[in-house]
Amino acid sequence: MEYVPAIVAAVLSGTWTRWFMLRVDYRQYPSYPEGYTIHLAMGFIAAFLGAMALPAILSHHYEAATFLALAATQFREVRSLERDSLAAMEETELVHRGSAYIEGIARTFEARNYLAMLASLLSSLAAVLARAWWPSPFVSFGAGLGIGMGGGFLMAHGGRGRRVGDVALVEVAPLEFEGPLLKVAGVIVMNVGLDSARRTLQEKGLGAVIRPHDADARATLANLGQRQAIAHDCAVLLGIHKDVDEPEFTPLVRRNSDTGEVVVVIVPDKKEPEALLTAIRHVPLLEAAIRKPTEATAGRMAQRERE
Amino acid sequence: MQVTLSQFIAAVVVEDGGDASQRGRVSGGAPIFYVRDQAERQRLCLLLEKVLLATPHDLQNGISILVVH
Repeated sequence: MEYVPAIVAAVLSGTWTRWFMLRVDYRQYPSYPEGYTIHLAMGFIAAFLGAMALPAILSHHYEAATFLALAATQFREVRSLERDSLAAMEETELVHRGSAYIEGIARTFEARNYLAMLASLLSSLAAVLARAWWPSPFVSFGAGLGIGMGGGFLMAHGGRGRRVGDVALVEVAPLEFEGPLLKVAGVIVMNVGLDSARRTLQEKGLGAVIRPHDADARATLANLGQRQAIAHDCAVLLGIHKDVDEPEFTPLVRRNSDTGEVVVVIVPDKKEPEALLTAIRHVPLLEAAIRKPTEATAGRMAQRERE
Repeated sequence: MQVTLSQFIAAVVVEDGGDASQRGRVSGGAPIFYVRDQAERQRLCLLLEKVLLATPHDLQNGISILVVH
C-alpha cells in the first residue's frame, strides 16, 4: 500500500505524456480513433511498467528490471506495426510519403513509448522521495504527478527535432517557362508537354526555393527521402490540384547541383504563398536524411575547397 | 504483390504535316501516333494522358513522348 500514490501518479503522468505527444503531432498521424486507442493503450502499458520499476526494486523484487527489457521488445513491435501500416497505405496516397518519412514516423512512435516510460519512472521517483521526506500520501501523489507531467512536457518539447526552417531560408519563387521547360530559380524542374497544363501551372501553381544555410543543410536537403517528405507535407497541408490522370501536377522537389538550393513546385487547391512557405518551414528534418559532413575532417576540407 | 512498370515511353506522338514521307523520322518499340499539326498533337497527348496515366513531354521538334514516371 505504501507505494500506491507513487504508482498511480506515475501511471497518470506517463499516460498523459503519451497523450500529449499524440496531440502535438497531428500531421504525422492519420488520426482515426482506432489509432488513438492503440497508442494510448501502449502508452498506458509503458507508463505502468515505468511506474512499477522503482517500487518493485525498493521491495527487493530485483527481477522487475527484466520487465523493462520485455517492454523494449514490445515497443519495437510498435515501430514495425506503424511502418507496415503506413507502407500499406502508401499506394493510396496521391503524393507518397516516401520510405524515409515512414521510417522516421515509425521510430518516433517507438521513441514516444520510451519517453512515456521515462516520465512515469521520473514521477514514481519523485513520489517515493517526497514520501520519505514528508510522510503523507497526498504530498507523495502531488509531487509525483507534478514532476512526472512537467518532465513529460519538457521531454515532448525537447524531443521535437529540427525543421527545414531551422536550417534553411525559404522564399517564394516564380514559375517560368522556357518552351516546355518549367524553371524555378534557374532550376529546370520538368518538361511540360501540354499547353493546357502549362496554363494551369502558370495560373494556379506556386514555387518556392529553399536556400540551405550551410554545408550540413545542403547535404540533408539533397536526400531524396527528405525531399519527398517536403512534397508530401506541402500536398497534405495545402491540398492539391491533381488526380491520377494528371501526373504533371505532382508536386516536385528538385535540386540545383551548383548551389545545393532546392526548389519546390506545387499546384495547390488555393494559391496561398505564405501557407506554402510555412508548410515547408515546418517539415521535420528526417533522422534518416540528416547529414553532418562538417563534423569530420574530410568534410571540413571539402568545404574549404568549395569556398 | 502488384508489379508495375515505370520510367518507360508509353507512346510517341509525331507531327507529319500530312506528309507520309516524314514518318521515317521516328521509329522504335513504343506505339507511334502520327498527327497533322501542333493542335492535333496537343489534343492527342491529352487524350493519351488520360488513358495511359503518363506525362506528356514536348521534345520541341514536333514530337511528344508520354512517359510513365
